[in-house]
Amino acid sequence: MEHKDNSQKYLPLSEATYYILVALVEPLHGYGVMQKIEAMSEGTVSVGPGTLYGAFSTLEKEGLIVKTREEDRRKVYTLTEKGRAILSEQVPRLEIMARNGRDALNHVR
Amino acid sequence: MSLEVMRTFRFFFPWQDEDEETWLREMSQTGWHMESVRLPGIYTFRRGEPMDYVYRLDYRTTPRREFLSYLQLFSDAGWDYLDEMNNWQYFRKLAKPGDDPQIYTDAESKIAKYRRVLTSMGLASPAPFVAFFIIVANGIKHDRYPMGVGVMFLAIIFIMAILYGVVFVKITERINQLKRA
Repeated sequence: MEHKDNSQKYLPLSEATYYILVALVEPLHGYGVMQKIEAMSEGTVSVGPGTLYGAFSTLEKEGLIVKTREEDRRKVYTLTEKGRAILSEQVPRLEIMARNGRDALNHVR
Repeated sequence: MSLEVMRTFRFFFPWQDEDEETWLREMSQTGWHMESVRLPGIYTFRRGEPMDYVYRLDYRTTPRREFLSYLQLFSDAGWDYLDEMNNWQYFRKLAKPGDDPQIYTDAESKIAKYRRVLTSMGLASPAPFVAFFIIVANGIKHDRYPMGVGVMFLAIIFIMAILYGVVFVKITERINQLKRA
C-alpha cells in the first residue's frame, strides 16, 4: 500500500526520465547515458545536457539513482532499489498503453 | 585596419534568453564570435570566419565543486563553454546545416530552468514583500520611524514589488507558453 502511494509521486515519468532510468540499469556516466538513449530509442528520443544534468540532480535527490564513483570529472550513476521498483511499475503500464493504442488503430469499423 | 575585437553593450531580460541566443547566432553568422560577457551586458566579440554557431544559455547556481563535472557533461556532448554572467552559463556548438541543437530537449526541463531563475531571485512566492510591507506598515502605525522615513520605506517596497512583479509575470508567461506548446 505504502509503496504504491510512493510511486504515484513519480509517475508518469517523462520520456527522458524513463529512458534515463532504463539506461542506468548498469552504471554509466552522463554522456554514456545520452548515447545509450539515442541508440535504445532508435533515434526517437535524444536528451540534451541541460535536461540530463537536471534529471540526474532530481533523481539523485529522490533516491532513484545513486552516484557510484567519479572518474575524470565524470560522475557515474546507477539505479537504486527504489529506482528499479519505480521502473518495474512503469513498464507494464507502458505495455498496456501501447497495446491499447495498437488495438485502437487496428480496430475495423 | 581590420578590427579583431569588438565590445558591444546589450541588455536582455531573464525571459529574453532565447532572443539573446538568436542574436549571438546571427553575430556568428556575420563573422563575430562571442568570446566573453560581463555585467551589465557587455559582450566581447572576436572577428573570424562566418560560422553557424548556435548559442545556448543555461541558468545554473551549481556550487563550485560540482561545476567541473557539469562542464564536462556539456563538453562531452559537444558544447564549448564560453563564459558566465549572473549564473547564466554561455555555451556554443557548431550547427550542421538544418540543425538546431538544444541543451534542453523537453519542455519540462526548460520550465524547470525558468523556475530556478524565479527561485534564485526570491520570487518563488510574494511572501517576502508582504512581510516587509507588514513590518513597515506596523512601524509607521506605532510611530517607530522619523517623519517621512516610513513613507519612503513603503515607496521603496512598492517600487521593488512592481519591478519584481514584472519579472515574475514575464517569466511565468514564458513558462505557460512552454506548457501550452
